[in-house]
Amino acid sequence: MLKKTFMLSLALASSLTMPLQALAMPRLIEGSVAKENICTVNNEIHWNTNLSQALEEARRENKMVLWIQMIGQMSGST
Amino acid sequence: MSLSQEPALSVLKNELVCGYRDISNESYAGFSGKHAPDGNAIVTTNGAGPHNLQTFLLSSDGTVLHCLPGYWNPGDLVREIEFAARMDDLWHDTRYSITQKRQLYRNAQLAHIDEHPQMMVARSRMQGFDMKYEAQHRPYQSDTIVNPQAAIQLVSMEKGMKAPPGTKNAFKTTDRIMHERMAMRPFVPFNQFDIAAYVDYGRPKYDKNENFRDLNTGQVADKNAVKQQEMLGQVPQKPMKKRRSMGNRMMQRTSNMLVRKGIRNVVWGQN
Repeated sequence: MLKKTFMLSLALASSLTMPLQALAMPRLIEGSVAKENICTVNNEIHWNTNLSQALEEARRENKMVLWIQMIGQMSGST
Repeated sequence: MSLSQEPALSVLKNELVCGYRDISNESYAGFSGKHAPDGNAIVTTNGAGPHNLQTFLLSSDGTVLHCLPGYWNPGDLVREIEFAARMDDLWHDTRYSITQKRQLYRNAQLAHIDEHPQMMVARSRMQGFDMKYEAQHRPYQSDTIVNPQAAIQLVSMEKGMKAPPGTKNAFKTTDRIMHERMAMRPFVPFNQFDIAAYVDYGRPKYDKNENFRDLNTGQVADKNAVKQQEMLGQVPQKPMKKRRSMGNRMMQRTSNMLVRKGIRNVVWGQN
């Protein structure tokens, strides 16, 4: 658990550079770029669609669960 | 929410077990225009679209550690995940009783508001249409409003007018609303978490019409197409039209006439 908190703190520290980037970001993202972003999220992350299974996996790996509730599909229309 | 951006992507990939569910059929879901994966996207404010998207951080036994309503900046999301990890440590800490843990949780949620950097607070300004909804529907009951009179004054101003002094802070920012509401829900099991009440701020519809905006100007280019777009989620039914169609009116007229004639025939014995 300590390792987890440490890793998250590191990630957070790296995000401190984000505000300036965020300011420079365009407000509107072109469809082709948005599609690429969605592909990255779906290719890089395994998305459980069953909460019980996600919790079971979390217990095995001593992790927390990030559970998103959304209108639409992670790889489809939203 | 751009989960594809660092540091969010690495944290999700390496530190968490991820999952999702489509809530289109849930009564608490809002609605929006349908966005294909290759449609335009827009960078929005923290906490925008709370009815359409919720991000829960759960302990491995299903206890809710934190919940972010709506869309969040990836850096701010990581900040809140780090906070949830601290709450997970507290939840598993054997030194405290359940009562003590709940009290520490409440204190930590409220204290975290002041830990947010100014940029995060600036990104957490409530959407104008959500402010308007709150001020019009529940100015004196809403926990999102600090100063009801100033809130009403602010949302009734015409576009382009400068906000009178003191009215800008009439509404709480969404980062504050989130922590204040979570402080009232300490270590609740996910299946007992009152999602409908938790996400209830602003109007049910969230849409920035990004598919209909010009990439150069950012302005909505085709307002008719916006009106005709397909919607997803709990779309409210349009009220029944009072005017009947021409066909219906003719049918009604004919049947009325037949009834009148029939009655007359019966009364006078005519064929």
